[in-house]
Amino acid sequence: MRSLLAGFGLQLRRMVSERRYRVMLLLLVGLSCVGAQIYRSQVLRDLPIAVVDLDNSSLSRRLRFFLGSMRELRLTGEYVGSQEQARDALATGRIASIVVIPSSFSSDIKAGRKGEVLVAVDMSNILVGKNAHKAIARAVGTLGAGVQVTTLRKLGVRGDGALTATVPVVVDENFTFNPATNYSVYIVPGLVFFLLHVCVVVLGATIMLPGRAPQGFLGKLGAAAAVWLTGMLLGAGLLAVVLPWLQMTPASGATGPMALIGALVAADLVFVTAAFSIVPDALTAMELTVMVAMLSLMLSGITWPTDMFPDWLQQASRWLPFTPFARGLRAMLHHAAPGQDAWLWVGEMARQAAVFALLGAAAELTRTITRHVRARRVA
Amino acid sequence: MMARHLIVSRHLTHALAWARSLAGAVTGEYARLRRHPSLLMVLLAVPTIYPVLVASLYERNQVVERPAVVVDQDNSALSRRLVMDLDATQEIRVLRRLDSLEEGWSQVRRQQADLLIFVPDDFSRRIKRREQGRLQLWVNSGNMLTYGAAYGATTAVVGQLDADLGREVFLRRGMGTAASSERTAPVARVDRLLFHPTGAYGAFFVPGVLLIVMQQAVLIALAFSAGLQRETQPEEGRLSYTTLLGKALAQAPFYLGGTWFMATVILPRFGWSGPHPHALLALFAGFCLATIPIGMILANLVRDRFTAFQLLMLASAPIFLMSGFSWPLDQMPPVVRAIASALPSTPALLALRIMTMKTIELRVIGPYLIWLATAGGVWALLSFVVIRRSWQRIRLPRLTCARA
Repeated sequence: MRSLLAGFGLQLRRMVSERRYRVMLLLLVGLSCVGAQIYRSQVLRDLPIAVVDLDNSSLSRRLRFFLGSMRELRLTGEYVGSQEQARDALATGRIASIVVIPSSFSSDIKAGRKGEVLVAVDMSNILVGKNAHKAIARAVGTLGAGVQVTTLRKLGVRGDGALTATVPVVVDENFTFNPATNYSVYIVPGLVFFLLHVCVVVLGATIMLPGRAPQGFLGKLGAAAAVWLTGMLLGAGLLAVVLPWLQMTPASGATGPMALIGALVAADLVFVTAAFSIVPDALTAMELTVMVAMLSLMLSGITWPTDMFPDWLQQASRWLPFTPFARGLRAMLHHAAPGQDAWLWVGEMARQAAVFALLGAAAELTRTITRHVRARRVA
Repeated sequence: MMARHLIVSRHLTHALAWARSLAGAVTGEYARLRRHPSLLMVLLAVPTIYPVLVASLYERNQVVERPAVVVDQDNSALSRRLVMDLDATQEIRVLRRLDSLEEGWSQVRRQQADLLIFVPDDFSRRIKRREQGRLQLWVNSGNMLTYGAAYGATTAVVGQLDADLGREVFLRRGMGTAASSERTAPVARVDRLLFHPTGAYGAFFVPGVLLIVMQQAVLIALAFSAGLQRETQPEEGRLSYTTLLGKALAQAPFYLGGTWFMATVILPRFGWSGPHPHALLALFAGFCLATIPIGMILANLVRDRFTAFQLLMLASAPIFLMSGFSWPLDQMPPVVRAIASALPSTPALLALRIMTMKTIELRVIGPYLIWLATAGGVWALLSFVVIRRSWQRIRLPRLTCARA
């Protein structure tokens, strides 16, 4: 017990007194705050678009108005007189899209033909391109629906019948986990907890490296407990301070996410220990663990879904503690999920930790047996 | 004349001595690389293993076939057509039809399905009665990428269904087939998706990630090597500017090898390099050059190999996100924008996006290259001042003491 407490105390003292630990913890907090601030606007707004209105009819003016009233778009008023100018404006990124309304636009519609609008979108940044395209499509669709309703009314369809005939199928949309479809909700929780995960892995490695780290199994266990406690405190800080900064509070209450954080930190520590047991050279083991930890963000499926990975990477991602954590956090953070849902992900991390522990123990056992056999041979 | 000659000769002697110590630092670094495989591993593994893994991860390029579940209480010809149309899209794969909404919702909650479509029992009846038929849709919008694919496909299918049903109204009013088609959805869009018409995520994302991998390779390798030297020669204390520059020069062939591997092997192999892989190689190399001074400053701070990892691992993801590569710089707060502007990765990533997607015309990428060169120049100056000052402050008094 004394060794356990000594290891705990020593690791805590190292983390407080040594400058490099302080700098790392400061970096974690600072970069989490910067990461949260990147997406402060939450959604894309005011993407610059140019409208070339060759028609200048009341209908085309209405389309311009609809485009200008979209949250995502801002009409720049830039004069685009030729194809070369249009290409230049799009290539240099001055504008995200150009909408050309031809001179025959309203006359075509009045004559019972489709009015065509040319929409050129810069897709070199798919985030900007898709948002601009979606907003333009919505504006054009609204104008089209209005025209169709007017036509039907002229044909004698009365009251709401015209609207029903134009949009006969209505979709009631429910966006789960991210109701306002904010980019901050999508990226920031994953990012800040990924930083915590890397930080815990690096701190875990400090216990295993030879040097001033606590010695003996119990000493190292005590040190791991200190890192676990630090990880929990940092996780609680991220949950209680950084995320509320972006109006994100856990919808399922704090217990579920804290259970997930506790499980992640514990699984990370077991993973590091197993890696150091399997790889004989401590520095190589550290390089390996840190490299794997760095890949966790991409392999977790936060951005690119795991079912799109090649099979071997899908299998690899299943064995990273950050993968079930990220899925669980998404489920618990943005939706009032029942408490037992957290145990689904915690259970998965516990299974991973058990396998890591078994692998580590097997490696240690093999090493001990090899050492004994060698010693006996020498004797 | 004599005095000037003496001054020139003194400068020449200094320059020669400096060149000799720089050459010493370079050879010392190569000796260290031979003796310590862990350093060689950092230099070789980061620019080779990471790119292969990242490229394999995004090999499928597009998000397709998002899993959807359907609760169809109507089970009419119209609802079956809707489900078939959804399943026929590239973006949606209908996993199964379920009996209850609770079961479907549970699958969405556990992230086993991205989409739940509920067709109420009066759906087709209402449409036949010329009322609006209502569909209920639950989409997992936690991942904006999958949400964009699944939701976009659903709205397109429902829009098409609306158009088809709307056309029937005109037909019932006695219009011909062609006239009905013209009057349904009367404003048509002619879309020109420029520069990256497929909107594929892998082609967009991976070149940027590889550039950041290269940045991490430069920073970690320099800091790791400096940490190693300080571990093995603790009496030397902080390293001089010449020593750090020597390290960078010695490691430069590895950086070049890494950039060559990424720009001319990995990216073209997956079809993501755009038409100008050699221009990418030049950009990657220029970026490495601009990153070296930052690496030297950080290497000046580290005391051992471990600190190199401790300090540098956290920075890569935020640096990538704040670069404006995906989330535009003008949508960020001024403080973040200012930090991002000071880093060479920001102009390099913006130039990279243009080079892979648009053009390599100097007129277009020129401003970003100037920005990159300026950032590199400022960091080079800063590194010279910072490292020299810290060396003079810490190392010189020690040397003087030792000599005394």
